[in-house]
Amino acid sequence: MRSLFCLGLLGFFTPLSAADWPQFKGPGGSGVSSEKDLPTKFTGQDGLRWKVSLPARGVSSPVVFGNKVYVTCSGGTRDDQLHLLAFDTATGKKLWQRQIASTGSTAAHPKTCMAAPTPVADETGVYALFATGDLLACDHDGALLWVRSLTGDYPTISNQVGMASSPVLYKDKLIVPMDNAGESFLAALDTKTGQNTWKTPRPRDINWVTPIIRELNSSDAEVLFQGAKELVAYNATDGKKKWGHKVGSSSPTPTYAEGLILSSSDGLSLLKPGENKLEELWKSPKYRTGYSSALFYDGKIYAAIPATGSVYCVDAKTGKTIWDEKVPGKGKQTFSASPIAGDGKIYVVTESGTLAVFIAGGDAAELLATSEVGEELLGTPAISGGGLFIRSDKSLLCVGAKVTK
Amino acid sequence: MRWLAIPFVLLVVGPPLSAADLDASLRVINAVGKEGTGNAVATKAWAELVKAGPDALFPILNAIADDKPTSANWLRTAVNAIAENQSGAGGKFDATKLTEFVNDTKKSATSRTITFELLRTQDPVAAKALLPKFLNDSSLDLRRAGIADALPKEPKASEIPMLQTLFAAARDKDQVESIAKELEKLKEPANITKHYGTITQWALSDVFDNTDELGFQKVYAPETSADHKGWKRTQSSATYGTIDLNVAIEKKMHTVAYAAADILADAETPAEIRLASQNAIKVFLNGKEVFGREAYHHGNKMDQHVAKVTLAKGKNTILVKACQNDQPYQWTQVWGFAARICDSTGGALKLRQLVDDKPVSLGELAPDTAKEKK
Repeated sequence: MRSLFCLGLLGFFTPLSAADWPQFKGPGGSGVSSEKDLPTKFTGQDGLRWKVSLPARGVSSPVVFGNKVYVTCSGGTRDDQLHLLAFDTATGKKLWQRQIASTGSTAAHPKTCMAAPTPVADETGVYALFATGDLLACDHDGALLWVRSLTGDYPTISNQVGMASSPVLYKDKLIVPMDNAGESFLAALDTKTGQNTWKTPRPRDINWVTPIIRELNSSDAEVLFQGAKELVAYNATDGKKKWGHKVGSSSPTPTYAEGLILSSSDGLSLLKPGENKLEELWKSPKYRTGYSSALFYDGKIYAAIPATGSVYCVDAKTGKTIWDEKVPGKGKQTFSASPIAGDGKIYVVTESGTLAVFIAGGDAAELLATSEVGEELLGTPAISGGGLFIRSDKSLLCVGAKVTK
Repeated sequence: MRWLAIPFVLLVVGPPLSAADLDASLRVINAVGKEGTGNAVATKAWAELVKAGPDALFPILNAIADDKPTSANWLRTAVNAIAENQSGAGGKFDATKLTEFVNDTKKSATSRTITFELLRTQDPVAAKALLPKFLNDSSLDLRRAGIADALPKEPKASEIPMLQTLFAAARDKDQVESIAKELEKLKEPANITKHYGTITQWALSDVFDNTDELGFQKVYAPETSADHKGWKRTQSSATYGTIDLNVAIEKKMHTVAYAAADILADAETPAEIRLASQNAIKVFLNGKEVFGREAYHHGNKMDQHVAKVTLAKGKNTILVKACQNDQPYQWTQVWGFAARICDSTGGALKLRQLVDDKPVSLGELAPDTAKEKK
């Protein structure tokens, strides 16, 4: 047996305490951080912890686990070079980068790219799905866990507009959504090996929604997955369909928070899960959020409406508008990213690169600050360790106080 | 969950992996199969390769095969990790060996491209010196880099031969169009349609039923008979050969149409039939189905579908089955396809098409409409 000599050089930093933001729209997909003392703005270097260049495009969100922030990118002439990068949350130092080549089609609408799904992380590692159907799993030090080519396994997978649904984690299962024009399915992959634990057929229809894990108790959960025609609950253990509700939209992803589901389908509806069904509490055609998911925070709902460039604060009990406010900026503002919240603040980024921060709640809109990133922003930011992580096609930046080491 | 972050640097030093152990690890990774079979052992093999460090670099590069893209991705990330560890320790790879590897065209295109990127990262001057050799490389990325490097910024008339060479070598659409534009500025013709081996002339069948999208799977008469005499002739003067079936036939819902083209090959020839189609499509070569994709209204990017085939010596009949469904929206009314036949790099092959029993070049138009072409 070969002997290996390992030398560990440990450098102790002042502890950085952070809540993880491990998946698309943060913990449980809620878009809400439990942290306090979150930043409000930055101007130039003032209020900016760090900013680094990215090697290629991406409309996925950054995710944070422990002291690392992970980002995916895609580039190359054919958009076929797929990257997963890890950065230090305190300094922005690049820790590692893994690159694979696409094994599936890279056709997509020019607004998106192959780095559209957001990666997901837990103690075991970080798991990245690309719009090509390629999966890349690494541990937190960049050691490869496994690679899979879903288009190699299921060759008819196809979404010429570009896939964007993100995987999520439930215990030792990576839940992979793959609704497309070809063989469609929802699958659970063993996080250790990448092999299928279960694979449930889905309608052949393109869909950009990310599944939601609804934990029923410590050993039982449902995977809620909305498609164009139905929101279906699957048993997370075996993938069997439990129930379905005829509310449908292939975009955006519903939000599950405070035991309720906010779903977009001809506007916004608030749904209450019951025994194998959903009860519609209210529905309003007024709140059409486009690609952006609505946010449920502290008894209020916040919706970024692309058509008007406005943020709406809505009474969760009634669906009535409490206030609405246009996001200021040069020219017309619009949104692809979803609003997120923490520390009593609502964070919104616009496509033209404005970060706007509102005070949550209140009877009237109160805009705390705006900051200009100066680059197109399509991905939803992440909150962790007192910082707001924003990615563009060119850069990843952390808004927040510098971390003392 | 709250986390305490303790950044650390872990230096891993290991004795050289024996050639047999290295080879065993590479075999394990090259054996990963469908649906993740073999992944569990491959994870361990990957770690062994990375621990072996720079000594494992060239064996890994040698093991990367173009026809094993998933395994190639496993191995590529091992190269990433070894290169990061090497760079982090202040070391470099032997530039001479990297150069030799890139220059060895018997190695896989994937591994040569990865090696070139390593070389470019650590020695940009040495990498740039290789670019002139890449004009006809089997690696599309290396070929593109070589062409970009050779392309004059503001070409003069004296550089027309060079531009023509670059045009012939180019495969990427943006590069082809860019060079064609420069040639046209210098009053030199550059036929993109022929450059890509585009099939412009077709014979069209009658239409068949596709109600409820069932026609895609139904076997209609054209699929069982090689005879397409008497079919309606049509052709495309579009640069990329798009046949608009709404015009060539008429705008119809729930419809299937077939288009046939006879291709002549002087010898048995490996080839790729590449297609673009907004809708469900099948392709048959000499009566055998070689490709099918049942998707409607999902873009029609050039070369979105590829069928790898072998042409027989003599006449080969390509039959395209193009489906249309109920066109629920304005933007779903597109019904048509484009097809070309090329080598594995996307370059035109020396083939001809049989039109009215006469051989013509691929990309030709019938004389009465040729002057329409721009």
